[in-house]
Amino acid sequence: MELELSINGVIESLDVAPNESLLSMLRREGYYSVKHGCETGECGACTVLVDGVPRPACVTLATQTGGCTLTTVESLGNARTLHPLQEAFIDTGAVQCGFCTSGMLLSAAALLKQNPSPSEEEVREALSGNLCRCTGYAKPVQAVLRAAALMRGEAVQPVSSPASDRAFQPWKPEAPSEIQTPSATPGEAARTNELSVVGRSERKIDAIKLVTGKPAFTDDINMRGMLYARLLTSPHAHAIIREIDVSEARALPGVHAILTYKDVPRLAYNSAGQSWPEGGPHDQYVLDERVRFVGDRVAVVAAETIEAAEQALKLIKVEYEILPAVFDLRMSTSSQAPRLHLAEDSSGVSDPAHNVAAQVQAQVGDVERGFAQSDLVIEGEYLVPQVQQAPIENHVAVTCWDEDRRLVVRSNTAAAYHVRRILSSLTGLPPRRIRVLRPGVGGNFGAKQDLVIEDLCALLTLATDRPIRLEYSRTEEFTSSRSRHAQIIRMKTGVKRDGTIVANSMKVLANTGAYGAHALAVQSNTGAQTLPIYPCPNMYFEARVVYTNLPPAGAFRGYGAPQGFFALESHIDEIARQLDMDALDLRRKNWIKEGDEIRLVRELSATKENIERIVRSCGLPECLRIVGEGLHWKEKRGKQSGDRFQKGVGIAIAMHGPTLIGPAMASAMLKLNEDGSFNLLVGTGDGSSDTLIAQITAEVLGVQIEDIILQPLDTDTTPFNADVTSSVYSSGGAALKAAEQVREQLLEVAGRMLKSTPGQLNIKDGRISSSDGRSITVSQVALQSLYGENRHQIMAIASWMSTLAPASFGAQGAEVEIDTETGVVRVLKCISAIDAGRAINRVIAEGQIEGAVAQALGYAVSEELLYDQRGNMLTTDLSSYRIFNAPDMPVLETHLVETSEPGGPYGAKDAEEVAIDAMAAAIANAVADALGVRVRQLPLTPERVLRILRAQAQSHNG
Amino acid sequence: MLINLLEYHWAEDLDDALLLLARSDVKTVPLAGGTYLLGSENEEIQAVVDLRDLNLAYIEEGARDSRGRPLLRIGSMTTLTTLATSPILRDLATGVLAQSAQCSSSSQLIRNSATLGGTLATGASSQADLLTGLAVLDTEVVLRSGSKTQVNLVGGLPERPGFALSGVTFKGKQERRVSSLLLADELRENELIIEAAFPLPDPGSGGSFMRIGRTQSDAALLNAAAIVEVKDGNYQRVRLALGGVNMLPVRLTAVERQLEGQPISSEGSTLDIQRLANTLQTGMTGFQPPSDVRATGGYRRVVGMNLAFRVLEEATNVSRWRNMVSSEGR
Repeated sequence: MELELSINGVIESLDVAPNESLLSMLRREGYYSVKHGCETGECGACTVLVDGVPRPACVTLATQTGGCTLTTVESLGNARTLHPLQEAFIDTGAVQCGFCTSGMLLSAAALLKQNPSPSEEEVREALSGNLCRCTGYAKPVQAVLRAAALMRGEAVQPVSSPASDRAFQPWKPEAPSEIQTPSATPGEAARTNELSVVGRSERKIDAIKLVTGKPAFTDDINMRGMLYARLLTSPHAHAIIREIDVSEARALPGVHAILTYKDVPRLAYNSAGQSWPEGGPHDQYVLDERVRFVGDRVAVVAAETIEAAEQALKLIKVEYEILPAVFDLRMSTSSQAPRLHLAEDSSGVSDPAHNVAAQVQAQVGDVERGFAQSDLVIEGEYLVPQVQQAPIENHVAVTCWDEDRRLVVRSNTAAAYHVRRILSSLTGLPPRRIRVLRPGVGGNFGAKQDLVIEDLCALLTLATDRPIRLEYSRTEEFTSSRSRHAQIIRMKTGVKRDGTIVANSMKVLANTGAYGAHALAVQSNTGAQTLPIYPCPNMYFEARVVYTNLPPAGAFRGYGAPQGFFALESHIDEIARQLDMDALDLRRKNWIKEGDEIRLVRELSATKENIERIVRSCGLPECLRIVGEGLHWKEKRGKQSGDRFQKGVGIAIAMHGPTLIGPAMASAMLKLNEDGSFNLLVGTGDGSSDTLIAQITAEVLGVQIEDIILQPLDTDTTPFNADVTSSVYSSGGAALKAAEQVREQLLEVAGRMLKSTPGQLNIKDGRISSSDGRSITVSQVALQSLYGENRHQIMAIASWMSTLAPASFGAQGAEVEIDTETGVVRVLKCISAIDAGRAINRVIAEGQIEGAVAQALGYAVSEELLYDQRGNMLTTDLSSYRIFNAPDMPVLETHLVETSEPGGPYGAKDAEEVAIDAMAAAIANAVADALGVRVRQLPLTPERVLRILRAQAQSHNG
Repeated sequence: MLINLLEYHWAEDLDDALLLLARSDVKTVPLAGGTYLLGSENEEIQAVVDLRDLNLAYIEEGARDSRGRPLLRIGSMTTLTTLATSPILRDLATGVLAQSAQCSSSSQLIRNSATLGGTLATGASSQADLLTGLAVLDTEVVLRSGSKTQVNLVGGLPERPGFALSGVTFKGKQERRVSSLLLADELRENELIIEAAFPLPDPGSGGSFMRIGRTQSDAALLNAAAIVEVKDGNYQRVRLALGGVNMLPVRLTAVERQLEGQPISSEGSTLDIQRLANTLQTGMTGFQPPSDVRATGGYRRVVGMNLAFRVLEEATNVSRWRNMVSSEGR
C-alpha cells in the first residue's frame, strides 16, 4: 500500500506492506541512523521522532505514521554544521560505540524542544528508553545538559580539545623547495619532551560519523540480490534429530536454500576467537544431528525476504528423539547425568565421560602446609550467575562473493583474523579466498569474540551464490549467543592473627553450557587475575569446567576475573570481620606491590612461556586512598542504624592484565599521503580504543589527530592482530612502533631537504624544523618523497610483541541502601579509581570505566539468565533481563590514577577490563556492611536479600 | 513481526472501526500504540484498525455516574505519557494514577506510544503498574461493539415501494461497562475499549502508590496503591490494590471492609499501626500472587503485606492532613 509522509522535511510517497515496521521501512529507504537492537521497543536504538515525539520504530507499523512528520538523526545536523546536541555528545565523550547515539540524540532533542532548561533527573528520564551498554550514561547526561546550556546561549567550557576544521580545509600543495625561514627566535624549534597529543582529551576519531547517523555498522548496507537468512533452533535441551524434512519449506516461493546437518561437512571446531593453535575443546559442528540446548542450531534458510525465510522455518518438519538433559553444573559430572559430547565425536575435551570440558590446576608452595601454619582458616562458597553481554547491536553478518570469487564476510566480529581461520576450515576455502571486513561494532564486551553466525552465512553464500544477510533477533541473542560463565567458587584462606595471608586457595566449578568455547581460558583467567593480587607463599587454584544443556558461555568483559574477584574480595571482607580488622588494612597488608612478581600466572598459562611478570607500575595504594576517602570509609563503615532503610559502604580492589596466551602480539601499518595525512591500519578487536591509538601515532609523528585516518579492519589489508580486545597496550604499541619507523623516514627525507641531519630535526604540528629554525611541512616531505628524487612511499609496517605482562589496577567502592522490609538494594554511589598507566585520553578512559561500572551494577543486582525446568530460557528480552538505564544509575565518581608503565606506549596500560572486576564485590561488601549478614550469591535481588534477612532473624530468634 | 497481517485500516469513524472488528472471517484487532501488538508476533492477526483519528485521546471531567457522582473519563487512545503528566491526574488522589502510568514502563519511548486502551486490553502481559492504579479507583471500562446486517430488499421498503435497497447495511451498536478488574475475563474479541471512567475521589482523600523492582525503574515485582478517605477520625472509604509484573491487580476488599467505619487511631492522635497491621494480617490471607521469573509468589505475598501497610499508612496520613487543612479553612 502507498504511504504518504514527511521524512526529514521531504514529502515521500512510499510503498509499504501492511505488516512492515517503521524501522524496516526507514532502513530500507537508507535512513541507517535508525538501528535495530530489539523487537520490543525496549532498547531505543530505533528511536524516531513522530510528529516531534520520540517513539520506538520497531514496534510502530510504518502505516501508523501515514500523514505524520518523521525526523531522524540524518536531519539533525551534518558534519560541517553539527546540532548543539551532536557537538556536545562529541565534546563530552558521550559517544563510544555510537550504536545507541542516534536514539539518544533524538530523545534529547525532543526534550530540549519542550524544556530548554531540564534538570539532570529530567534528562535521565528523557533518555530512559535508550539503553546504552558502553557509557554508563554519565557522559550522555552531561552532554544533554551542556547542549541545553549552549542552546540557551550560555558560555560553557569545552570538555575535550576543541574541534579542528583541519580535515575539511582545501589542500594547497606547497613546493618541496619552499622552505620557511625562521620568523621566531632561533632555537624555538628545539626538541621538546612535552607531549602535544597524548594526554589530551581528543575528540573520538569517528564521532562525527556516529552522531550524524552515517552508515558505519555492519548492517548499514543493502546489496543487490541479497537474500535473508533465518535460523531454526532446537526447542529441546537435548535431542537427536531422527528425521528432518525440508521439502515443503524448500518449495516455498522465494526460498533459495536450506541447510541442515545433512548438507554440511561434520567438522568439529571451537567457536572461540583465540590464537592458533586453538586450545579447544573442538566440540561444536556447524549443524549437527544432535542438539544440546534450547536454541541450538537445527537448520538455516535463505530466502528473498525475511518473511519468506520465517515462513520456511515453520514448514521444516523435524522429528526429535528427546534425550535426558542436565542443567545443574553440580549434577553434570554425576554418573547419572547424560553425556553431551562423545569422545569419538570431539577432540580436546578434558573428560567427556564426566562432562568435563576443561580443567586446570596450579599451585605455588604448598597450601595444605600453609593452612596448617595459619592461626585461622576461613572458608566460603560464592555463586555467580550466567549473564549476557547484551550489546545493543545484535550479531549480524553479510557474506557474498566478490568479482574474483573470493568470499567477502562483512561482520561485527571482534576476532576478524580468527574468524577467517575458522571459516577456512569450515568452508574448505583457503584463507586467501576469504576476506573479512569489520566495520564499526555496536558494542562487543566479548559477545562478538566468537564465531556465532558467520559460518552459516558463508555456507549459504556458497550454496546460493548470492549475498546473504543473517542477523540475530534480540531473543536469539539471549538463547543462541554467548554469555559469562556461571561459577561456584570455594575460597579457603589461612591467615595469621595479624592478618598476614599464609595460604590462599580458590576452587572453581564453572558452567560452559553445551559447548566449551572459552572454557579453559576464561576459567584459567579467574585464578590468574585474582589470586596473585595477594601474593603469599602458598597459593592454589583449580577449575573444573563442565558441560550442561544450556546455551554456551564465552567471553565477557573481564574474562573470568569479575567472577573471581566477587569471591576473593567478598572473602577478604569476611576474613577481616573474623579477625576484627579493618578490611582496607587487611588488603594493604597483603596486596601486591611494585617490584613484586605476579605469581601463579606462569603455572596457569597455556604456553608456560617464561614471560617476565614483575609489577613495574602500581597505583593501587592511591586508588584505595581515593575510594576510601570518597566513601568516608572511617565515618560510615560498620554503622548499622537498625532502621528500616540500612546504609552500608563496601570496597574491593582488582588487578587485570597478566596474559595466559603467551606474549601479546599486534601489528600496524602506516602510510604517508601527499597532504601530510597518514593512513593507519591496525587490527583492534572492536575499535573502541581507536582514538587512543591514533593519538599515540600522532604524537610520535608530530602531527595532529586529524592527520591520522584510521581504516576499518579488513583482513586483506590490515596487518595481523592476535589480540581480540582493543588493547591500547598491544595495538597502541604496534602503532607506536610503526610510527617511529615512519618518523625516521620522514626525518631522513626532510634532512636532505633542509640539509640537516635527522637528529637535529623536530616535528611539531605537522611541521619539521631544523635547529636553525627553517622548516617544511610533512606534506612537502610527502611530495618530495613521491615526486622528487629517490621516489618512494614513506610507510612502515611493524609488529609488536611484549614479553612483559603489565597489570592495570583499581579500587572500587559503593554506598548502598537496603529496604529491610522488601530486600531491595539501592546503590547510591559508585566510586572507581583506576590505574591504567598514563591516561592517553582522560575523557575516553573515564567513559570506558563508567560503562564497565554500569555493567557491573547489573551483574551485582539485576542481571541473571534464568531457565525453566526444561532448559527454556525465561529471560529473553530486555525487560525480564534487566540492564541499567539512565534513571537507574547511581552517582558515579571516576578517578584516573596515573602511573607510567615502562613497557606501555607512553606509559599506558588498559582501563576497559579492570573497571568491571571489583564493583560487584564492592556492592556485596556494602550490603554486608549494611545488614551485618552476607549474601554470597549474585545478583543481589530483593528476594535473595530478604531471604537472608529472614533467615538471620530466625536464627537470632531461635 | 505480524507475519500474516495483510490489511491495515485507518478508521475515521468509530462505527467503521466497530464494523471492521466485528468481521468473523478476517482476524481483525484494534491498533492503538502498537508497542505490545508488534512485539507479540501474533501470527493469527490478519488485519488491524488504526484508532488514532477517532478522537479517543482525552481526559475529561464533567459527567456523572448513575449514582450522581462526578466522573473522570479517559479516552482509550490517551498515552501513558499523557496520563503521567496530566495536571488533573497529578492532583488526583495524590497522583496515584499519574505515578502508576509513569512507572508502567521504564522507557519514555514506550510511554509515548503505549495507550490506556492498549494497556487494558493487554492485561497482565502489559507489565503495567497502571492496572493497579485503575483498580484502586474503581475504574469501569466502556466497551463498544458493532454488528451489521445485510438485507436484500429488491422490492423496496413498505413505505417506499419500488425503491431498491439491495446491499443496504444496517448497523447495530452495543455498549457496556465492566470493572477494570474483570476486563481480562470480560473483553470479547469484537469489542473496542472506548474509555475508562471512575468516580472522582473525595478531595479530602489521600492516595499512595509504591512499588519495588530490581532497579529503580524495573518492572514492578510488586506494586501497591491505596486511596483512603478519612472523616471524623474514621476510615470513611478505603481502596487497596496490589499488582505487579505478569499478574493482574488484586483488590483487597476484605481489608477495605474491615477498615471502613473504624477509627484510624486508638488514642485520637496517632495512627493505630497495630490495628492496621492486624487487619492486613487477617485480610490478606487470600492474597496468593503468582510466581514470575523475577520473583516467587511467596516473596510477593510476604512483601505484599509490608507494601500494603505502607500505602495504607501514607494514604491515611495524607487524608488526615488534608482534612485538617480543610477544617482550618485554608
